[in-house]
This record gives sequence, structure tokens and C-alpha cells, in this order.
Amino acid sequence: MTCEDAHLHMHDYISGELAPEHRENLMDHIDGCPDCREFFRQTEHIQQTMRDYMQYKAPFELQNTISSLLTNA
Amino acid sequence: MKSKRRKSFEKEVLSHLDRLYGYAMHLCKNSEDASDLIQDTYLNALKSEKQYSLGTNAGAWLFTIMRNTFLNEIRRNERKPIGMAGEWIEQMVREDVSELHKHGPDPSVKCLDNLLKEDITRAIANLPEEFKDSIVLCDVQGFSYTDIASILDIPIGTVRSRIHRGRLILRHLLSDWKNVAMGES
Repeated sequence: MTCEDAHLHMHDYISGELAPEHRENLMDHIDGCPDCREFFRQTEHIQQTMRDYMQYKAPFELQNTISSLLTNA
Repeated sequence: MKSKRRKSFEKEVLSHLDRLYGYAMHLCKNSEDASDLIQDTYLNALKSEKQYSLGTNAGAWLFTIMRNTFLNEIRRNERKPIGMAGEWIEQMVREDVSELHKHGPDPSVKCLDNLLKEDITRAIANLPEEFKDSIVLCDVQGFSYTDIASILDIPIGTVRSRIHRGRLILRHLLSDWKNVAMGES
């Protein structure tokens, strides 16, 4: 697997979209290529950080409004 | 007396409220407009209730309704979507990918390990609109490429390409800012 292929597969892997048959090849490449390994680690870290920081909880008032809207419809 | 179907419908759609609110905040940028958008979304969902098959994919269905509701509101107010990608972004991504392919990422760039919430918020805000939606739906909301294609009404290949490019732009923005903040550029 070339580094270019690895980069393409990496994004799909991080998205949870990489087909199982490509996973082993990708992991083998990452194990043997320090640059791709670092890029993978950073990209995964950015995604995880984004997911952690961007979670919202609907305000209590809005929860009540929507519950009433559904109940009374 | 409510039907069993109606009770199940209410339970399914209500379970997505927090996720919808997160996406509404992303679209509207303030809690007041986000709350209004959520209410309009649920009203439109109720109107279209018969089109939804219980136990399928309430999340993608509601996100599609919310996005259409938002776009209709923009059209009604004759506002234009902001932040379409300029040529410079395309050029930057091309150079970035080319650089990565030639040299790989700079292993000394450790600044990306210490990201703050404001770094992430600012980077997402600076992403061009067409990349931003795909990135938020995939990386924040956890939707599949198929669901995102349905929500945004674009081909799956375009979703995939926007997510790949969007992540590269994010990385580029974050490393530039963090390096400047650390006095390295």
C-alpha cells in the first residue's frame, strides 16, 4: 500500500467506513511508516477532540416545549 | 387515547433532541434561533409523520427535515449561505496533500495534541460551508456517509471527498494557529 492509498483509507477508517478487507493492509502500512502513523494519530485526535467538545444538551425549557408539542399534537 | 404507533414515534423522535440541538447550534450560531429551528423541525416532522417507518433511521430523517427547514428559512429571508470555498482553499488543500505525500506530516508538530475547545470552535467556523456540514455530521454527529448523503442531498462520493478535504483544511488551520501561538512561525 502506498502512502497515498493509506491516507485515503485512513479517513474512511476514522469515519467508520473502511471495508474490513482493507483494514489489515492499512494497519500494516501504519505500523511500518512513521509519517503516516503520526498523521493518523493526529487526525484521529482532532476528530475525537471535536466530538468531545461539540456535544450539546438541549436546554431544559426546550425539552419541555418539544415534549408538550409532541404530547398535544 | 394515543395509538401505540404514535407513542413509539414520539419516543423515537424525542431521543434525538440533544443531537438536533447541537446541529441547530452549528447552523444558527445562537441558542434562540437554534431553539426556534428545533421547534419548526419537530412541527414539520409531525406533519410528515406518516412518511416515517418506525424503527428505521429517525436521526437521519430528522436531520434532513431540520436542514430543509433551515434552508427554506434562509430562502425566505433572502440570505445567502456564507463561506463558500474560494479558489485559495482549493489551492491550499492541493498543496497540503502534495506536501504530505512528499514529506509526510512534520513529526515535530506536537501542538495539535493540546487543542482547546475554542481552537476547535474557531477552526470549524472557518471551514468553508460545504466542508463544514459534512465534517460536523460525520465527526461530531457520527452519521454514516450514506446518511450524510441523504441529509445533504449530495452523492456519497462528494461526501467522502468533502470529509477528506475538510479534515485536511481543519488540520492546516489548527497547526497554523497553534504554531503562531507558540511563536514558531
